[in-house]
Amino acid sequence: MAVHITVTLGGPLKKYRLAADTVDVPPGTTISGILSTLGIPAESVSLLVLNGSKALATEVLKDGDHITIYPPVCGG
Amino acid sequence: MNGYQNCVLRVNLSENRISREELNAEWTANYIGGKGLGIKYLYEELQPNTDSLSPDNKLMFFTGPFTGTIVPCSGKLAIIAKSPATNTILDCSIGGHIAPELKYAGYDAVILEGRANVPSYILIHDKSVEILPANELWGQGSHAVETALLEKYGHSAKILSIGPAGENLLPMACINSDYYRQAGRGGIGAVMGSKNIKAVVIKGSGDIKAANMPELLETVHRFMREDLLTDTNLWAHTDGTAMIVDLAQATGILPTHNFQSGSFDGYQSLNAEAVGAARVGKKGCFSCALGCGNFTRKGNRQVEGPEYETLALCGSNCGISELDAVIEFNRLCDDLGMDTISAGNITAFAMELTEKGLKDFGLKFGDVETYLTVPAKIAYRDGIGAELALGVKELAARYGGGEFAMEVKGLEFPGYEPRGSWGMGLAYATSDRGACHMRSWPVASEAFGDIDPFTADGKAQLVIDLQHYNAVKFSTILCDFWALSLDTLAEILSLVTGREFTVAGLEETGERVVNIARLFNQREGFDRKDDTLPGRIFNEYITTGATAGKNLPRPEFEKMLADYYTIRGWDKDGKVSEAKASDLSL
Repeated sequence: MAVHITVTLGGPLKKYRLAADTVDVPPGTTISGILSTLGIPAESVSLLVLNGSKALATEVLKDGDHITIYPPVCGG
Repeated sequence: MNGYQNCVLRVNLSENRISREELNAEWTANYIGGKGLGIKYLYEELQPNTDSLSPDNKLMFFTGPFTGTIVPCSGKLAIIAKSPATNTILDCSIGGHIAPELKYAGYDAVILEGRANVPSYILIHDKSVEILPANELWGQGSHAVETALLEKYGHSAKILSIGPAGENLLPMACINSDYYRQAGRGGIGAVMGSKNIKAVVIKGSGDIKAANMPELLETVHRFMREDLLTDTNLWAHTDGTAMIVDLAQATGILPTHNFQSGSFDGYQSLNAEAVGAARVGKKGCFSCALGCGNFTRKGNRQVEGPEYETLALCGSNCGISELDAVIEFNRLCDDLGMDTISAGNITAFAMELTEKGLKDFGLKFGDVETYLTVPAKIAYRDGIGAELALGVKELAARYGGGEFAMEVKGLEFPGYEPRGSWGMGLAYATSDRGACHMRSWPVASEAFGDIDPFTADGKAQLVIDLQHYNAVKFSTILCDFWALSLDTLAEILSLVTGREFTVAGLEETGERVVNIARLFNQREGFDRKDDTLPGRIFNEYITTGATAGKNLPRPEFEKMLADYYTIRGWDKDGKVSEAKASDLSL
């Protein structure tokens, strides 16, 4: 049974977006798998936020999860 | 020397004397320009223990070899003086279009000395330099001053100005340009006010020679495509610094209620999406392909921003979730000529003093009506403003609350909670001008990256590397939003100047700049006792958000600091040894 997730992309990463923000993925899909599907290079990613908290790329996504992917930022 | 005009303009205001001298070539080899060269000049020219608001302090404006060239993101001007807020070295940078204009007028730097007898402004039009009376400008807001001078001298003129806060010598007074750009921190505007200088108008018609123009053109275009207009930098264009609100909230480092918490319920009203919805235009500085500036509007009032620091310190840190209110607070501070980082901190500190019953300032977290009265009260020292104008450190000395007076060496905290980014704590403690995020920003690697934010291990080296990187970048002078490598920097610098720059050489220059700044502070009596943080960071645990349960234990901080001194080759009191000074040719 597919896992229903929402993906939000920060700033310039929006160009990698899927046809819809909410998508179904196979069970066992990790955040890393989503990054590959979207074709986002590793160097274009800094912070991964899963349901409002910092997450690792190895985390497996569950039904209803919301993942936000941010690019590196500098300065401040 | 290619990339330079080889000329310093010196204006002695007390004696109405204007002179020109050759730029010190030996120092440019060691310090390049901008921040580094300006600090070197001030170190050599200022007597120790000079009163920062006396005519003996100097106000120095420095460009760098990139200024005015086609090198992208090079539109910044370094402004250097001894700080009235901290009594440390103070160098600020300001964006917009003023720096290249100064270079086109024929100068690498301007040094103001003494004090004008009457309120004045300086007009620099190529070789013509005049000190003119500013009677009609004195007392006016920065925006009105800029408009009046643009109408008088034409819209091609570029202007630096101060507002009432600078005239009134406040320790949080800034210098403005292009209406909404600021050299913000440490009271640099008060130094200008103390010299009775309301504005500097610059018109330049010259040019700048690069050593290898054909190759520079080709190289810059290549880097624009491959290194600048990339996912790594374009966040500055698409969202601007407001993007950091979401990142800071998710990682629990968004200052809230005077750093009582690291997360804010109303953050979605202040984030990039909210600012984007209020956006009416975009803007970039001279030679910038990123254009990070966002114009937002409230009614018929417009501001450029609010930037992250303002959203955090004047928003969540004051418990304000209404973006309109933050925009208006931002606009007031800009026009009055006041740093929003310090103004936000002072307001939040006064709110907590009131909340805890230590002193009733009539201010309450989240109360927009009283919050919006604060900037003008501070700028004119009106009512409670007479005391708020002292800054957080002095307020705490008067009313208590030192544990939660969020400052280092008298400079209020930027918008990153060190309990969620321990390296940031070390960065604040060791920055040359007090709590500052522009000397090193380990937040990107810790809270927003892969390095564990909650360990002391490796943080000294991380902070040192970042301090050297920023010091050399701000000496060339480049904006921090281009995350270029030192390889790239060396390649461009070699093409502009004709000198051979290497990564190792640039790293040494960064180290030299940090050490000369430290020597300046050391001469003023600063040492290890001053490299510390407020008690709240050590003793209080955050209770909500991603950093709930976290503090920065004092022993861990002391370990980072000891590591830092050891790696730097400083002694246990944090003093630069004679051997280190000699190694670096200081």
